[in-house]
Amino acid sequence: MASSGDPSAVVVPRNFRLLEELERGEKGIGDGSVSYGMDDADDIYMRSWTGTIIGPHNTVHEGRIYQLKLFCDKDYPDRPPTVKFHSRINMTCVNPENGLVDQRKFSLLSNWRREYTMEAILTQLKKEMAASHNRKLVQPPEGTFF
Amino acid sequence: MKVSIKTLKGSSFEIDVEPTSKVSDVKKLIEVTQGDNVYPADQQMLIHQGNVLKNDTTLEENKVVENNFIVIMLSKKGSSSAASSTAKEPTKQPSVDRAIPTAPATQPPAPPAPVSEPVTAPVPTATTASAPAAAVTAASTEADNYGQAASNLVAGSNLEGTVQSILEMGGGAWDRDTVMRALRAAYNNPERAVEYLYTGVPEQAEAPAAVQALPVPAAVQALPVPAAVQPVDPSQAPQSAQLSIPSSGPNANPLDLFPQVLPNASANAGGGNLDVLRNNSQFRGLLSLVQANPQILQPLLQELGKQNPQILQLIQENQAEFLRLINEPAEGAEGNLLDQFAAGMPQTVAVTPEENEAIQRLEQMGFDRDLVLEVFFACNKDELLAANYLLDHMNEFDDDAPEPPQ
Repeated sequence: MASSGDPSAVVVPRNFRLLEELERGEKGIGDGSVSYGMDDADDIYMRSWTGTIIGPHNTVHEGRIYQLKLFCDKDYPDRPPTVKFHSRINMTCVNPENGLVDQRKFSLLSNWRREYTMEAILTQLKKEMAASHNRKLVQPPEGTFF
Repeated sequence: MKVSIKTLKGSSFEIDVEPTSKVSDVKKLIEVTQGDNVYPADQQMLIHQGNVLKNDTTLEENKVVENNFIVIMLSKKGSSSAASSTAKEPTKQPSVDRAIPTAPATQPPAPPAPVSEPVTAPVPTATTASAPAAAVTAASTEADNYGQAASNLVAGSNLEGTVQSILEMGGGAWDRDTVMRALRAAYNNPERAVEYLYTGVPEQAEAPAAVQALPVPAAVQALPVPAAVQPVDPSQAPQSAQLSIPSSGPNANPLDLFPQVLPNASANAGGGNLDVLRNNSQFRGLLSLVQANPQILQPLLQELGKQNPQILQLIQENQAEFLRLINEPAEGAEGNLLDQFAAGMPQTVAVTPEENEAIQRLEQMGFDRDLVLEVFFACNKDELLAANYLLDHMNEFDDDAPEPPQ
């Protein structure tokens, strides 16, 4: 944990960051349209997470629940986690074969900053669903998975 | 333990559940607490920390602990139906390719529109095509009528054809000798000859006929009425000669007048004189007809015998007085004739619908109804024959219009 740069900057260790996000997820701060939690409680490294996004109104996604998997490796939060849809979805930034969110097409991942959180990823994905190029795409049947 | 339930609208409520409770039991508890119309259990979907809770699992298995929050939302069955209908679309194609099939979905309604237009277009064309055809047909008909209106004098080889045509026109009402005599009187003009056949041959032509009849006493003997008169009054001989002249044509008027005479005949059953007949307006009309056209007396008496035997018997019992009636000058004969024609016509309306239509068509050609009726029945109800006759004699009818019928 040797730090470089400004001596006054406090670098939060990975585990403390993840614990903070876990507590936030459990407390349910927010509007409830996105929620997330740890996938495997026994994993001491807290790498595997699961999240859900409720489709925004006035779009083809309305009334749907999309399940996602987020994988925070040991270099998180310096590098963004891997985000993968478990529920089938048709979006411009999602690989139609495996549901992987393409970092090059999702600005939050391509312009990753340390201050971003998993909640921010989920919230931004929801906004992306309501974007003009995604809101009217024909969607797979509800309840199907990659 | 207490668990917070958060709704998408931002509100939240707490429920008291056990860690060993099933998710389905939690849904029923929420339905009871909040009302089945707000959150029906079968439509609830519970989400905890990114996991959709399954009905057959327990809260403990889903790691729900004290003071955790669960997000609740309702699934729409309509959305499920829409999703099932969407299943037909391919699911693994790139999004760009999927956008393209949306456009053809809009186009399928377009092709039927052009198809309906060609179907509609031929109809007015066919209608327009048929109208000129009808006009052409009408023009042809008019041309034929104009061609048939030609009139000319006949002579030589045409004479025989004309005689045959007039015989056919009369339908057997005239014999050949009568037709020949009429043609001779009309100087072989067929139109005038037919008119003579209808209205009577002029007297100048009758004189030779009367002379020819005298040398044949047998003909005179054949007539019962004239034969009975001879012994009574020798001066009646010329009358007998006239009576022997054959009838020149049919006359429908007697049939019109007899029904009116019938009631009077019943009243006269006991009477023994002809004074009542003298006063009868219909009978005076008959007498006027006989005076104007003596040759109709014989068929008139025959018809009278059929229609009203009592009057015929009355006449036979008073033949001398009857002959005097015939010779008396009729007062206001022309007026009575016109009245008789006017009164008689309505009684002749015993035609079939087809005949009435034919009469109306002849009237539409521009002729008077009375004239049309006369010609129509004279031609044995043959519309074409009547039309030809009316057209051939159009000028003569115009000249005769001001004069009363003779």
